[in-house]
Amino acid sequence: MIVAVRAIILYTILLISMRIMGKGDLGELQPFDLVVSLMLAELAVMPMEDLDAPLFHGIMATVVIMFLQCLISYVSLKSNTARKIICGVPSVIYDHGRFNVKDMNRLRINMNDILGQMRLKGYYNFEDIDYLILETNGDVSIVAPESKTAKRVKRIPIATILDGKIMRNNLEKFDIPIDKLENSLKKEKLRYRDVLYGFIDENDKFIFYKR
Amino acid sequence: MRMVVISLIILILIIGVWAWVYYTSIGPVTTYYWDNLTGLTDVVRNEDWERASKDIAVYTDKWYEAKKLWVFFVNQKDLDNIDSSIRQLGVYIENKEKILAQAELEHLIVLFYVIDENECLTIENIF
Repeated sequence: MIVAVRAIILYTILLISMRIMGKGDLGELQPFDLVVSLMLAELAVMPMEDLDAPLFHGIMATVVIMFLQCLISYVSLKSNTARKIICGVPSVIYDHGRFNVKDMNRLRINMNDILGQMRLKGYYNFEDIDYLILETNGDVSIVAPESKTAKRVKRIPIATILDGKIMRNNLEKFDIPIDKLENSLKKEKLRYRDVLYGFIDENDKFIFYKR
Repeated sequence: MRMVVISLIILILIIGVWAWVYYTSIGPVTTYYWDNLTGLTDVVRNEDWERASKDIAVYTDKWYEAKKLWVFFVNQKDLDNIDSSIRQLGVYIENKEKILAQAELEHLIVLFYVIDENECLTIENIF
């Protein structure tokens, strides 16, 4: 009976913690989300199994994890650098006939994994796809024309501004002059701080979405 | 930001409750027992059984009072060990068993020391 009462209390605490941590944590599993889910599951089971352990210990550990999760989510929301460190960055594994072997080795994925993921997404031939991207949550995205006769995607959009911050790494990596970006912002009468997401499309056109 | 603040407030409350229990009950009560049980050791050594009986009765009552709060924060096994030890000590004193009472007193002192050690925030405890 004690186990049942403890289970109800811990279930309620976990439910409240998960609600405070937010929907994002339930929907997608970033590396640290996975760690948090495993830790919370373990923390909930411990005081349920061991009746000698005070419930307070389990509650305190859950609250600490909840706070850290909220803090890390907030920091990664506000800072691109923190987001890169905590969540990582998506990797373009295949780009118009070229494989990114360096990233494949770094991420320890082989051709069989890639072919398996392609089959799961309904593609069987690299000729049918333009890009294959490994997302930060471990999922694979495929950029491909809708049909064989449809226009091919020349290049995926390159982020130029994210959360009001210029993505200088991307500008340097893809040789995009900053003057060009600034001129485009001026034309739209925008400051980069006002832009939630800005990117350059495959036709080298700057597109901005305001906050 | 709102959720960070809410979770921080909950965390501060929980840590506050723990700190309050530690600094107002666990710390002072364990210190009280170290001091008084050491004194009781001398009383038992001198075989002053009447005084020893009175003292252990007081310590037992005080223990059951403290236990009411500790039960929420301290491992039940540790509390059961103290319960058992304090009762054994009472029986040894009642029967004037000097050696057994002295041994049980040492055991009880260690049990209180262990509780304080376990709850204390130290590098050794963390690792």
